[in-house]
Amino acid sequence: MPKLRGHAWAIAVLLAAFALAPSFYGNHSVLFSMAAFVALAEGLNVLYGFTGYLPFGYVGFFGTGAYGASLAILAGTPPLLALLVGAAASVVLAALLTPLLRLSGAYFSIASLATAEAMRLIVSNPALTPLTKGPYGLNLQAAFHPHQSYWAMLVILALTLALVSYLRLSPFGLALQAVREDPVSAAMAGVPVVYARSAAWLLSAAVAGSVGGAFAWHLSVFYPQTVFSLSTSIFAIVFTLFGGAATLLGPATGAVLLYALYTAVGLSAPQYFQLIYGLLIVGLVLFLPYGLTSLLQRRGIHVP
Amino acid sequence: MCPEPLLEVRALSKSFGGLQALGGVNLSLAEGEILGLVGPNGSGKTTLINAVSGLLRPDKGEIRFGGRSLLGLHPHQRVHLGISRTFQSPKPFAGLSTLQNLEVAWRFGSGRRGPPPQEVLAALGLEKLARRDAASLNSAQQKKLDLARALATGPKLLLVDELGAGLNAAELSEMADFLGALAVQGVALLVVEHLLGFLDRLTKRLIVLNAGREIFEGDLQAAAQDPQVVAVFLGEGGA
Amino acid sequence: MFLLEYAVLAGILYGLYFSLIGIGLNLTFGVLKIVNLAHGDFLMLGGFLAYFLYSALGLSPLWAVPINLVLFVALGGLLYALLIPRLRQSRDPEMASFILFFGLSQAIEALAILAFGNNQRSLPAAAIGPGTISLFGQVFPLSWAAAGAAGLLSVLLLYLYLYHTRLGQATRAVMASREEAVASGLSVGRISALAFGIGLALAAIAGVFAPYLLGGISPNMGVAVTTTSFTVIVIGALGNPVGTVVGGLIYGLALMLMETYASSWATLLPYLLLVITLLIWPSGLLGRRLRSA
Repeated sequence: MPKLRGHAWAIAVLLAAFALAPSFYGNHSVLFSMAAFVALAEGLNVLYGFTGYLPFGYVGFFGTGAYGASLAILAGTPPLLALLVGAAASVVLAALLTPLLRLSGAYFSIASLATAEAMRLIVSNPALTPLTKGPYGLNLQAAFHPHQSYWAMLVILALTLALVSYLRLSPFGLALQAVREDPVSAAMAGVPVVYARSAAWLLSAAVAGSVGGAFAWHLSVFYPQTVFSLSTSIFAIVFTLFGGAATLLGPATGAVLLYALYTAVGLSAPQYFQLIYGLLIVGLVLFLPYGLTSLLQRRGIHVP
Repeated sequence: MCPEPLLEVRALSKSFGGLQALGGVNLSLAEGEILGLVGPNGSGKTTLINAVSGLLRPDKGEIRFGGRSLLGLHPHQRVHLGISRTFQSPKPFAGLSTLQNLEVAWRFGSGRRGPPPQEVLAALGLEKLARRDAASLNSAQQKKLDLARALATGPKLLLVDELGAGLNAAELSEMADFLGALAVQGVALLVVEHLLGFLDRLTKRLIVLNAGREIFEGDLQAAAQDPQVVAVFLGEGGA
Repeated sequence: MFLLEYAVLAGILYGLYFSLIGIGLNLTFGVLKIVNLAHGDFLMLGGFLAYFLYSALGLSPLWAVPINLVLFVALGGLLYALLIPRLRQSRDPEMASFILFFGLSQAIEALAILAFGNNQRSLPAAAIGPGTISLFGQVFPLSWAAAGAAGLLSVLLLYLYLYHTRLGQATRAVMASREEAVASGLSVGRISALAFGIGLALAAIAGVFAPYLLGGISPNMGVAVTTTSFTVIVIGALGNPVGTVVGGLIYGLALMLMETYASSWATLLPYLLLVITLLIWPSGLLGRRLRSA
C-alpha cells in the first residue's frame, strides 16, 4: 500500500496548494484556469494515457459541458446542480459518439476534432438562436460567484485526481492499459475490450463536461468560440505529453509548469506561446516521447 | 468418459472474398485430450483457431463448448467460459510488468479462480522476470509469457498457435513436457504446429487440413503413409 | 433549374480545386504512412507567397506556382531529413508523426502570425486575369476556372509521374510495401523525401488560389484546411493520390449544393462528411481490429 499513500499525499499537496493560493496570489482567474487545466489534462489522461486514444476534439466535451451547465443555470437550476447537468450533457454526447472508438490512431483523433468543430458550428448557428443564443454567447452574470465556482472547480479537480489514481492503482486501470497495448491479446486475457474503452471514454467526457460547466460559471459571459476553442484541446494535450501520460503526477505537473509559463509569456503575446508549445511538441515527440515523469521512471522510480 | 465432448466443431465454413479458408470442418475434443492440427500455409489452421476464440465470425457451421453454442459470444466471454489461446507472434502488454500482464489475465479472465500469477510464472520459469517490463523480454520469453497469460485465465481448452517456432531444442522439449502435464490435469489442447516432431511427442491424434478441408485424421506414422497428405506436403516443398 | 445548374458547375470547378488541396496530403500518406497535420499550413504559406508577389512586386500570383514548386520540394527534402528518420524509431511512428506534425502546424501558424499579422488577406480579382468565364451558359470568375484547371492539371501530371516515369514507379513500389521496396534495393529514403516535398509543393500551389476560392488567406486557416483535405482524401481513396479526384468532386458538389440551398449550415459540411464517411466506410481504416495471428 505504499503506492496508495504516495498518491494520497500527491493529491493532498496539490489540492492544498490550490486551496491556499488565493490568499497569496491576487489573480484568482489565473488560479482558476490553472486548476481547470490540471483537471482537463488529467481528464484527457484518462482517455489517452490509459487507452491510447488521443482526442483532438476533447474541447467538444468541455464546450458542451459549458453550454449544458449555463443553459441549466439560465433555466433556474442552482449552479452546483447545473454542473452535473453539464457533465451529463457531455456524457450523453460521448455516448452518441462511441462509434468513433472503432477508428484507430490518427483517424480517431481527426474524427474527434471534426465533431468538436461541428459542435461549435451547431451551437453558434444563428438558426438555433432561440435555444443557444447562437453566435451571441451566454450571459450568466445573475449567477456570477467567483468564490463558489473556484471551490466547485477544486472539488471537480479532487474527483478527477482520485479517478486517475484509481486507474493507476486498480486492476481496471491495468486492463485498460492492456487494451491500449493490444486489444486482441487483452480480449484473450478476458478483458471486455469494448466495455473498458467505452467506460474510459465516458469518464473522460464527464471530467471535461464538469470542468467546462465550472469554467462557464466562473467566467459568466462567454461566446461559442470561447468554450469550443481548439487551443483548449491543444493545451490539455501538450500538458499531458509534457508531464507524461498514464501517471497521476505527469499531466498535473505539465499543466502547472506550462500554464505558469503561459501566464508569464502567453497572455500578452499568445503567438509566442503558441510557437513555444508548437516547438515543444516537436521536441517532445523526438526526444522525450513519454514526458518528464519518464525521466524518473527510466531510473526505476515509481511515479504516482 | 463424458457423454458429450468438450469442444465440438461442425461444418464450419469461412470465406475471405473469393477464397475459402474453411470449407466445412468437423472436429471434437474431450477433456484432457490433445489434438494436433497440421497443414500447409493457408490451409485454414489459424482461421479455425480464430473462429473458436471468437476473433472471427464463421459464415456457416456450429461451435459448441461444454454443450453450449459459442456463436455470437465475444472473445472475452469465451475466455470466461474457459477457452484461451496463444498467438504465433505474441504481443505482451508493454509498459506493464510481466507479473502485471498475468494479473490482468487472472482477474479478468478467470475472475481470480485460475492459478495465481506467481505460480504460473514459477511453472514456466519466468519468476525472475516478474518485475521486468514485458516489452523488454526476448522472443522466447514473450512466447512463454503468452502461454502464461493463457493459463492464468484458467482454461479448460487451450488453443496453441505455433508455439514451437523460434524455440531451440531444449526449450521445445521443455514445452512439450509442460503441455503434456497440462493435458494430464484435464486441459484439452488444440495444437497448431509446423514442427511435426514436437507434435508427435504430444499426441497420436492429428488432423491434416488442406485448403480449408480435413484430408486426414490419425497418427503421424499413418499420415506419412497417406498419399493425399504426402502430395500436399510435397507440393509445399516437403515439410 | 438555373440555380441547380450553377451549383453543379461551380461544384465541379471547386471539386477539381479540392482535389488539388487534398492530393498532396494523400501522396504523403500513401508513401510515408504519415498524416501531415501541417498540410493546411503549407497551403497557407504558399498563398502568402502569391500574395506578396502581387502586392510587393506587382507580379501575377500565378508566378507563385512554379516558385512554390521548387521552394517547397526543397523544403520538404529538408524537413524529411530533419524529422522522419528519427520518427521511424519511435514505438508507434504513425501516432508519433501525427502528434509531431500537429506541433509543427502550431509553430508555423505562430510564426506566420508574427510575420504577417493576425488578419485575413485577399487579392483583387483582376490580379489573376481580367473578367469572367462562361461555361455552359453560366458565368464564373476567371479565378475559379484557373483553380479548377490547376487542379485538373496537377492530378494529370501526378498521374503521369506515378505511372509513366521510373521514379514514379519506384514511388508506387514504396507505397505498396516499404519493406519490399527496401529489399529490392530502392533508395526508399530519397524517394520518400521527394514524395514528401511534392506533397508540400502541391499544397503550396493550392494556396495560390486560396485568396479566391477559400475567401482569403490568414495565418490561422491551417487547421480548417487540413480537416477539409483529410475529408477529401477519406471520401476518395486513402493512400491513392489519383483517387483524390473522386473525393474532391463529391466534396465540391456537396459544398456548392449546401451553399445554394442551406447556406447557414454549409460550414458544417466538411466535419459531418468526414465523420460519416469514416464511420460508414471504415474499410482499411481499422488497421488493428483483427490481427493475423
